[in-house]
Amino acid sequence: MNWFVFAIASWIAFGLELGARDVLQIGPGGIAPSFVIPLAVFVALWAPATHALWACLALGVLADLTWHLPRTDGGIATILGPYAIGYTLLGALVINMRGMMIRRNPITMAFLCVLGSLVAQIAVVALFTVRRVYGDPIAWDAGDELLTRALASVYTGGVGLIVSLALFAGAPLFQFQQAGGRRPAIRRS
Amino acid sequence: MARHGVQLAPADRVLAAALAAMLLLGLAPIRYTGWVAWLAEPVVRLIAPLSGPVASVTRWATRPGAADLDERDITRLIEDRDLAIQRHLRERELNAELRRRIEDLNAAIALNPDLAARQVTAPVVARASDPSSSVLTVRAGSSLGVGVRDVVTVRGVQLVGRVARVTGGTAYVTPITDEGNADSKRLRAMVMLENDFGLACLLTPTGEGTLTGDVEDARGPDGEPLGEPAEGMTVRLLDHDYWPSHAQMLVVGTVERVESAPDQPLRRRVVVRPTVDLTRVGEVTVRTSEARSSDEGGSGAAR
Repeated sequence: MNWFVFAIASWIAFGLELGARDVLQIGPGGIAPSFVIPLAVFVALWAPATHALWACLALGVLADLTWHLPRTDGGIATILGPYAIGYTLLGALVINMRGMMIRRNPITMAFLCVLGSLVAQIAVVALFTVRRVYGDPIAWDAGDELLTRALASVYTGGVGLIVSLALFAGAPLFQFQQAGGRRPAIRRS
Repeated sequence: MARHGVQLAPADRVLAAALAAMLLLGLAPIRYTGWVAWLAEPVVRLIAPLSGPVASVTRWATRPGAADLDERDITRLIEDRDLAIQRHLRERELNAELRRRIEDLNAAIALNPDLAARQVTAPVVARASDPSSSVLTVRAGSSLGVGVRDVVTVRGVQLVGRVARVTGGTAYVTPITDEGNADSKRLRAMVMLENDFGLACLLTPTGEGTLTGDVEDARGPDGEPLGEPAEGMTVRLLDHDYWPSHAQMLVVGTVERVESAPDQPLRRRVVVRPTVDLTRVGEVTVRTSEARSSDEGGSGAAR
């Protein structure tokens, strides 16, 4: 996999995610699509398993670093981890499912974007709910968050359908190789 | 007997370790992970050159229909008018405050002259990447004299919120409508009546882009009620305890709905919506206190 092209694609995805979010948002609840998740799904669909997981982890770390959560005691918190875990789970899910999918089909992308996004968001909500249990100063309502994020996941699927056309066109640039269904190597001793 | 165990390849072992580290960081209390904010700054700086123009283009593309008139001039005139109204009301409030002090004959208290505020206009380059947060990333940092807790407005007098964190080139602003905003947990404001009197209220964010709170039942010297809150009335900030002098009488929003308080049916409760959607602003004005800037040498403390 060409990591330089992946970095450029990530930069564009995050630029769109942060820049266009307010315009694409539906309602005051923050239901907005993600441009990063279609990229993560695309890489997980085509790249070798280990590369795909690292790429998803990197995207998750960047997503964590661009998420600033107001603290109820003043200031802002930046929390590293929830999206890193969530996106890696998304990657693992797609890697496990890609053998059963018609990869070069935008509908596959849309479907996996919805599913992958749901998995990632559930992981994020779970981690934050644990934080609330031990009293971290953050405003968090797991029920509301799950609903908002589920709707955002569906929205992301729609965006994934469109973004997939651009990603498929640029696929040769990524130089994916060994795009088999290999799982991380496990050796028995 | 042969021992059976799972052994990961070296590359996968590193990945597993990275994931374990992320899990630990993801669960560690916020007070131990403050240093992560320093990693966020370069990432935001890297993305801002793209997210800023994307935000500008998308806002331009989705703006309401352009009129034949010079929109910029009209906007400027409206802003000037709103600013003049805000200054007038602020001065009036200050006068009332001074009069009260003089009446109390409290000579020991030095009269606090109006604090001058320097204004820094800056574009909003990004929003948080997560739906749970409406924090705005503004391209103006401590290098421009912006500091933590500086007041942020849009369109002259519409209060946006306060700077929650500042770095060299970036400020993070939490809108008053954000549920997680510590400053707007209890925002003291005044529903402005048509007769120039006001009804005090204590507002809290609803999480749906509005604030809500019970309105005080105020009566004039003759014992008659000063008035009733109604839809469309302007609500202005009046909170000397938590907001600086130059922020008083900034517009919090307009009354969208008046209803009865659930616990006290005779008491009126207002739902206030800011005059602009605070999560979709393209450019904001940061009001930095000149007194603070000179005290701190204009360097905002990052936290």
